[in-house]
Amino acid sequence: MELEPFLLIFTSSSAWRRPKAIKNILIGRRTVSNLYWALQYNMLDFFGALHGIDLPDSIPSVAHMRRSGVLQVDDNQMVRRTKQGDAKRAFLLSEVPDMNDLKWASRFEVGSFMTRFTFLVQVVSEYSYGNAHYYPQTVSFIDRQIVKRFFLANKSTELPKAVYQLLNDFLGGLRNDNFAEIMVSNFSGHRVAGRTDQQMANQLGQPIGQIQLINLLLSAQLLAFLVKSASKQVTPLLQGLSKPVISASALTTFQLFLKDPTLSYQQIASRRHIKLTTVYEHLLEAAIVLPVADVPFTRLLAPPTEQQLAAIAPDQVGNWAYQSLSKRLPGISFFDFRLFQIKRARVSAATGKEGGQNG
Amino acid sequence: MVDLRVILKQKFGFDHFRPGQQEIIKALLNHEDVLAVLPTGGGKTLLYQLYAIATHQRVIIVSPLISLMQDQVSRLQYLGSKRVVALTSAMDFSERRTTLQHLEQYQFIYASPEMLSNPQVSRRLQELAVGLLVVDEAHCISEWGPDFRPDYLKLGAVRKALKQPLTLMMTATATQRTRNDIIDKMAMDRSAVTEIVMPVNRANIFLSVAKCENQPAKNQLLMTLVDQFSGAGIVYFSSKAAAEQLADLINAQTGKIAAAYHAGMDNPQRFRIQQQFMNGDVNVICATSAFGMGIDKNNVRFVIHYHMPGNVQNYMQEIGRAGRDSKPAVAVLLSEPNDQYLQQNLIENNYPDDDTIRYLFKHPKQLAANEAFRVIQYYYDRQQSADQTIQQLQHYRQMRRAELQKMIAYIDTVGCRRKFLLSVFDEPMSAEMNGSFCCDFHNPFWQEVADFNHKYLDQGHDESRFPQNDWRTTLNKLFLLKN
Repeated sequence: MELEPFLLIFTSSSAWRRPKAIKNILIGRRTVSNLYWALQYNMLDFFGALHGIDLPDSIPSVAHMRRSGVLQVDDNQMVRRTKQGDAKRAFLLSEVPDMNDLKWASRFEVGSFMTRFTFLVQVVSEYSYGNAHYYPQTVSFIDRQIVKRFFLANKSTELPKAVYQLLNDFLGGLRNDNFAEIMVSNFSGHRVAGRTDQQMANQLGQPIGQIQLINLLLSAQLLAFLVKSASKQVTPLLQGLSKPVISASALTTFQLFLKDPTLSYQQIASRRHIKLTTVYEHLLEAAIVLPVADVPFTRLLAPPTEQQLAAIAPDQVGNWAYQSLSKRLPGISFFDFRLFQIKRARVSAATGKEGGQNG
Repeated sequence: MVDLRVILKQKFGFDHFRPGQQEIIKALLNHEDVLAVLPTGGGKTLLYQLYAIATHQRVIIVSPLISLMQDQVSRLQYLGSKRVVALTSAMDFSERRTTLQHLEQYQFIYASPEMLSNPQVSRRLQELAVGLLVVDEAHCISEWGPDFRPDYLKLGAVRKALKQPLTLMMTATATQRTRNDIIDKMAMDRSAVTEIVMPVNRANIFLSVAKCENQPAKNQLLMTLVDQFSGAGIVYFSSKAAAEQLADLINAQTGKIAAAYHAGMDNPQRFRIQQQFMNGDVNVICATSAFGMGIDKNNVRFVIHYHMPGNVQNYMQEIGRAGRDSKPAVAVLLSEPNDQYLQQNLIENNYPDDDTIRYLFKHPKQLAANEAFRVIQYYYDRQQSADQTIQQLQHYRQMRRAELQKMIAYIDTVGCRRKFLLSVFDEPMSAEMNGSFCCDFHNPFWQEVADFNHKYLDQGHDESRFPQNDWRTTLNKLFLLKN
């Protein structure tokens, strides 16, 4: 999938951002650094939305966007959107479904969902013609079993009508008929081959990256449509697709921290058989991704330390570098420093004050 | 005694076996290990499928490419076998674990040589009863083993670990030297293997070559041919980029619909192109050699090589996709002066330089760290010296250069092209070959392409176009609803 549409959307015209971090956030490389930048870039809701999708290297994409005049690049390879970029972004957003639906791709494995759904469409399509003699799509063992079970449990003359009705309702509700055309191009069935993204790009005269983005957003919308439909019948198709907000190991560390306030970080490390630095990472992850109300910031960051940091903090706390701080306050740990930044971004955003750096 | 013809009719709907099929299956039922050479389109898949039906036994199929395995799995499912699985490197950890846990449920198990070398997979397979071990594209043992995919050289050991099950080695093209090499490398006794060799000649495929002045001239000729030839066709390329560019050019400049098809595309996109080609929505596939190995489209009328393959064996394999319905078809090879350098570079880039080999022998930890050094690792593990390895790889490099020279000689030949190709396989021209439908040596093909097409390829079908349905019509069509 092309990276450029995503760089256009998630860069900012007011702040410099790291393209590599944007890419890592979208593919969901779960490090504290990537989560932190996701927080600063207001991209936490999109963390891992492109998980499992092959994305090109950011360097050539950025170079191309710079040549096209949509991005500025500084000496540190940070990027900022130009006015031309703003216009292009606005146009792109008007041409694609609601970007907010990408959040569903962060919460669920949308790629696997579409694999299952398109396979189901093929199976039901052939069934509606009474044909058991066809080339099935190549899908993984697990996806095949799930679709097979679903099909066997619901196999009746009503099934084709039900799948048709579901799709007709969904596609009919889209604001643009081209979106419906793009969505339907994913489906193969009885004497219907479907179209590739490139073929749709040629047919509609749109860049392939835009078609891919529309497809992804529509897949996320369809998934949301099914989740919201409250129909228990489709639940088996969604089995195993939801993604946890926090890694299981980080959650265990955080729960131990909550449960016993007398434990030092070192004792938590010993109990969990992990390194002390890993404890810090787990707590930072929790501080970034869990609801603000669930994070005891005052316990994590002692008020005197916070006051010390607040006294010398610059306006742009998010981009404050630890190196420059450690010279002025030599005793401050990176953990405390990062917590201070996280708290500023999260608590202020929650109370409606200065938030992360919006695009 | 099972009646093979009854199974053939009942399960496959055919009245007759293709040449060699019955003989091979009978030999297998007689517990003879077989090395079979059947031309492309000769019905190789049916051999082990029918054997499995007749004996109710499990079959393991060694296959070189993921795309080929996936195609074969689809094809077997299409033919009614549901207990089919491909163990491939495309599986993630949990999928592989689940599949291995349930492996006894499958009657047909496809795997690459690399997968079979994996200790976990090998252990699991040893727990199962294996009725037949099939090595598909068996020429890869000889061709790829020594300098490209060394795991092919371990198949002999794999067979031994599986307690030496009945074995069928299949290929479409193999010289006597290659056949001997296959059996030797499988650690089998030549005298104990039954060789069933069908002629490689495909009399219904007309052979022709055009030497173009440069690439623009070649592009132009390609457009002319694609426009003139009737029916479905495949154009082969050495690179994905060229396949994509020329597919665009065909769409822009001819009345035909083309689509690129290569290993860089994801499964759903590949599947849709395959279906379009099968349905006749797309006329021309611009492919790299990943295409077509498992596709069963009988009515391909032309195969054009935009880039020459590295050897005559591959050329025969690829042109064999044409005319599987036994009706006339044409193979055209387009050549321009730079093409041979492209192939030469592909050969040279495939080999590590001598200094790298010496360095890696001194730093063996780095061998294991990089998949690209698998070949060197193979020789290192066999306690060869760096110099011996260099010598050995040099020998294979020379062999590949010689094979490429043979391919170039085919392009340059001024005599009968069929005679030339068949001579590579030690196969004489049969007396009944029709001189006028043989090659551009006997037939003024290049002066009369339109007439040739009209006479042999044009079957009166309308040229297909993409169905221009809106989404509502497509939805109705998908689910057999007529509003």
